[in-house]
Amino acid sequence: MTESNAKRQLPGITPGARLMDRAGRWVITAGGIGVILSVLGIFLFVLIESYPLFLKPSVSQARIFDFSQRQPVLCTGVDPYRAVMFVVHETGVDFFDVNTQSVIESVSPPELQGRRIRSAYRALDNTHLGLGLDDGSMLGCRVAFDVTYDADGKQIVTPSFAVESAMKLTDDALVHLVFRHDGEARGTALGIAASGQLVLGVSETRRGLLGGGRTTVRTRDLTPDIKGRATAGAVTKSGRYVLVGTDRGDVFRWEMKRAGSDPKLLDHFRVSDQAVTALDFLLGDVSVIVGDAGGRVSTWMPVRIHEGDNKRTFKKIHTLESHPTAVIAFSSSARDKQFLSGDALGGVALHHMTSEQTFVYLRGNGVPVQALAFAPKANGFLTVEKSGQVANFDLHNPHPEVTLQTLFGKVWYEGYTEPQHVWQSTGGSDDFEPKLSIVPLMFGTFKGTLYAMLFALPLAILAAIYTSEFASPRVRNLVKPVVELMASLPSVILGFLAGLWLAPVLETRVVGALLLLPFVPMVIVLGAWAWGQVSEEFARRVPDHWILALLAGIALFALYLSFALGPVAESLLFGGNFQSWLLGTTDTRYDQRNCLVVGFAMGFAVVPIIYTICEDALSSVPQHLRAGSLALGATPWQTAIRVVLPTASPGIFSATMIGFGRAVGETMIVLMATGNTPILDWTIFNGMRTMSANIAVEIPEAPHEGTLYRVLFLTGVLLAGITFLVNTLAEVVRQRLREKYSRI
Amino acid sequence: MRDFLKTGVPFIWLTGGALAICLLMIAGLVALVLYNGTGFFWPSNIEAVTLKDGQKAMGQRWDRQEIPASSRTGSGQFRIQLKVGNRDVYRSDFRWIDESDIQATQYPKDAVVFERREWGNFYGFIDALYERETRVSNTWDVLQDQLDKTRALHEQIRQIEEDAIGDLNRQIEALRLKKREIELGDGNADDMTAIDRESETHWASYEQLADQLAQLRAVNEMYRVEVRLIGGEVQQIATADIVRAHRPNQLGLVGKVGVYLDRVGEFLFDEPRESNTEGGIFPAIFGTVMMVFLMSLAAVPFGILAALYLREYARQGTLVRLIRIAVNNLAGVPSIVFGMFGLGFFVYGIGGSIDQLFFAEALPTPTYGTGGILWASLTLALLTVPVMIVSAEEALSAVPSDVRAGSLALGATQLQTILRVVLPGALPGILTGIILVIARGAGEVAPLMITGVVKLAPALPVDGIWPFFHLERKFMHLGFHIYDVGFQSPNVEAARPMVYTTTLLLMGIVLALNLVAILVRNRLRKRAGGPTF
Repeated sequence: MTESNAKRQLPGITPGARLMDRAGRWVITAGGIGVILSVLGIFLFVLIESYPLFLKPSVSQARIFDFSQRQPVLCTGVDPYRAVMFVVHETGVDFFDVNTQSVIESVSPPELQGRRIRSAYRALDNTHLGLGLDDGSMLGCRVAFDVTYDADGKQIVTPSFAVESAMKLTDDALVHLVFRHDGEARGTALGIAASGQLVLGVSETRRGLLGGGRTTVRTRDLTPDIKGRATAGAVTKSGRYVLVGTDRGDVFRWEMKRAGSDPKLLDHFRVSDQAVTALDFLLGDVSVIVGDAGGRVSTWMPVRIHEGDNKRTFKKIHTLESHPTAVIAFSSSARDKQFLSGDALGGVALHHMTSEQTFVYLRGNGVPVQALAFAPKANGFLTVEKSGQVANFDLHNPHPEVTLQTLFGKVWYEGYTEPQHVWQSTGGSDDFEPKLSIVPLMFGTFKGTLYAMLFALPLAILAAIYTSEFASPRVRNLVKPVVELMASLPSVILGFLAGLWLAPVLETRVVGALLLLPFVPMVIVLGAWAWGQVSEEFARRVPDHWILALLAGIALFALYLSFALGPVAESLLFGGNFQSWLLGTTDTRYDQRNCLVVGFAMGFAVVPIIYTICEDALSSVPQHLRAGSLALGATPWQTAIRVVLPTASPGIFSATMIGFGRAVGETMIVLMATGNTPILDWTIFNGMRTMSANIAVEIPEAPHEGTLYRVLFLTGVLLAGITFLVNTLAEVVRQRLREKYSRI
Repeated sequence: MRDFLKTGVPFIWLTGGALAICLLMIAGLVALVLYNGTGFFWPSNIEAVTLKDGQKAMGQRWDRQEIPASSRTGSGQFRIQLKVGNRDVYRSDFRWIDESDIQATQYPKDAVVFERREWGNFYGFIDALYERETRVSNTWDVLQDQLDKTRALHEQIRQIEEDAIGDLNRQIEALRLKKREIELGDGNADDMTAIDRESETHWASYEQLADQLAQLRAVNEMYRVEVRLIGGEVQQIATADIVRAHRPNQLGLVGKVGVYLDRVGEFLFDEPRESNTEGGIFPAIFGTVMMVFLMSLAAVPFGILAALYLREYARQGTLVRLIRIAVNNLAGVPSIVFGMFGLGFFVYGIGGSIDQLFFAEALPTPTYGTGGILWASLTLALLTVPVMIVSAEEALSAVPSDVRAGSLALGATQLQTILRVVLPGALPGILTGIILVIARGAGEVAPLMITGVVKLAPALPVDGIWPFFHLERKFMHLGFHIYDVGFQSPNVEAARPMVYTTTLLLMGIVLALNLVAILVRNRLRKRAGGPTF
């Protein structure tokens, strides 16, 4: 209409009015498009916020430092700000400024007494350093980085180094050393001598009341315990478990409960048909990474044999991409379950255990890797080649633990007996691994929706049929606004009443509530029969709304009957206590806030929506169809069910979809009327956690742009996507139906 | 029976039954909320029960219920729940008593309920009233008199604490920030010492105010009541700690109504006490109203703008149809998704940038980079804009196109036609849309929880301090109050009536708004005679 009309304007329009008109057109068009775009932009934003979860990590080589004059470099490490690194070589430790590429301090500890360092081990805490010497002794050292700021606010990292303990493990040079310190008293050293001898040393410092302390050292030769030759070892931080790999592909495991107790050989298990060439614990000291001479990398952990049983056996859990040649070095991240593996040809790979990803493989130049070091904040790493070349890499991998597999598939987490779908985003300790499976949340969403729909659909559709087909116009004009009003009830009110009133009330009256299901229809049908016995004369004179009131009375009577008979049925069928019966026979615990409650409350919220749309669809069915059917001798009921209902069925479908969409996204009711436990269990007597409630609970605590934050946005994308699809489907169906009505 | 089924009558009755159940549910819900929400303020009589084992308990009856079969011991079928109060003595506000254990129930005339500022209600008898160390005669009248004075004194103390001292605090904080700004900037030493000197004068006047406060408090704490519990223990309560004292067993109907109205007034116009479980909810009412106002300010004009574009300017075709469907469906997208957007975009995105640019001196404490009433309102505006667009479009399309054609034919421009002919014709429909938007906004809680609602906001978003509107402040909200007090409060049992009352209030507001909207719309539809589907 607009274009053609504008052209036909009469000449009387003033220039000012024309200008205003143009301006108005411009403002309204720009504003309108802007509003629509910005509202639609919400989707885009939510999508963009979750997208980085699936970005590939970026690894770039920042710099190579040549320490060939200090060769061999045995071990390296860097401070949390990646400003100062240290390298351990034969005669001491050099601290090196990464930015200016100059040596800050070169430490040659007097405790060396001229001996040479043959092996070194940097513990995961980046503080404790073990040095294995050529006379079979080891030195336990502490490296610390002090951070200060100068007048300009520039950061200054000052390293310090101290030898804290010494142990004489054997008489032969230590070619391989593992040293862990529990941070308090106990230091555990595992050394492999050039002769192949395997020795364990434990030092314990008992602090006296007046400072100072007494250090006791015990050593024990473990060589007789094993078959084959020890090639690699790993020790937990507490020193309780000691693992040693051999050239025959076995791993032996010892336990040492206290520092003073004797190491007890627990078990040994075959991990490979080739020699074990590298062994290390991942963060948390539960999973062990094993590398063999064939280049294979796998992680193992103790798994309970039976649920509830304390016996554990070591199992291979995750297999990662293989190297082309023997794996000889590992370094675990102190942040998450990432680790680096290095091989005999200088190749380095970055893996994440739980998600079984190998992000990159950096091809080497044929020189074997000597040592690897993950930066403490997992934002970079160092590689050391046998030739003395130290390379510094930048790493940006903010969400290593998330893949489609970990989000939607079963994952075998530490401490679980089998792969499972688990949602547990936060835990008590620093080495807690977030478990972010969306499956339990989706499951909970659909479970709640299912029960709500089971309750709401029959009620709403039947009520709509009555209103449109059988009720008098007067009743209809009264009832419809009331039900519509019910649709506007804030869900927080429904949630509150469901959680604090209905849930406790139902808890003692479950059986009565279940009896409602058969009783209400039965009593109503009986009522209809009884009404049939009343004289027709009288029945015809009773106005419509009195019938409705009568029906309400009958329903109330059924309600009373159910709850009155509930205890009787409970003692007859369930031995007097339904909840213990439930626990005993089906092993289901009755939660006070369960799906029965949610189904009712959410059904309450959905009924008016379904009802309104259904009723509209039914009453819009052209009148002549009804008239024709009735004229052919069909009863009103036959007309309603065989003629009107099928014609309006797309409308009912669309009502169902819109109700479904509302139930899927409902937040407050679920939040308040369930226990919000993310479980996978269809039973009606316990709760669930839905995606929407999960967002409400967790997003305030989720660090901005962290993994949890983005995963929550991903669930938001899913929620918005589902509801949008469902609603669009409903809308399209509705429009088709509208066209159909205009045709008939 | 078969013939009976064939007639279809039982099925019709079943459908009718379904409708009856729907209506019953609504009626039940409204009745439940009304019953629980209105009864809370009624000063019911104080019962003093003597148990068979000689124990005594006194309080107001809260509940009476059948003893669950599993825990039934005696022969009694019912037990009563007494609110015995005196949480500081008994540790718990409530006590369940089996009716079979009760020997006698009395309603002592001189039993008193003290509503205290802390520790909840106190139930007991007055032994004496002391002014400092001297005993006062004519106890009850002096007490009531003193309570009135205490109320005034409290108001005075609150004023000094919040207005005068709060003002000083703000000035000192402003000076600190100014100093920090200079530090971040050129670091001029003269400016900084000037600031230090200025803040010293502020500290001096702070000392004065503190003295004044101490004096007022001393006056306030002069009177103490000596009270006796039902068990015989004697305690003293300072009148300063008492909000209200009454003897329900002596009150007639008029007196009870007086107390009732007094408490309703307190509920509506006072600040909350005891972590929201007592006192009033004025800040929540105010926060809700202000949030809804800000939301409407954003949602209504833009919604109308978009509707005007879609209906009057856009070329009607597939694209506009698709947009219409999309906008329609946006109203069905879960509100929590909008909340997420608000958190990510407004709070972290825009708020974070504003802080970087304009409030750098206050960092790392966020000013706009945290939830606040502005962000919450904008989030809800986005949520409700589709509702506004849809209703405004409906209203515009109900204006007959002949009217438009007539206006254009008479030489009006399109803008003139819209402003003078179309919009006035569509006004009632647009008003309906506005009411729907307001009702939707007032009842929505989930998105607010993550964009700025808190359980207890220290200050209202509007006050007498420049710039008067503090849109960055967090606020309280009726719906969140229900969630928070009902589910997060340490003493849910005692707080429950309060939640019912808030529920009643919120339900009343939302239902009333919707009722108006529905009535107006029905009238319009009837007039327009258009299709309803």
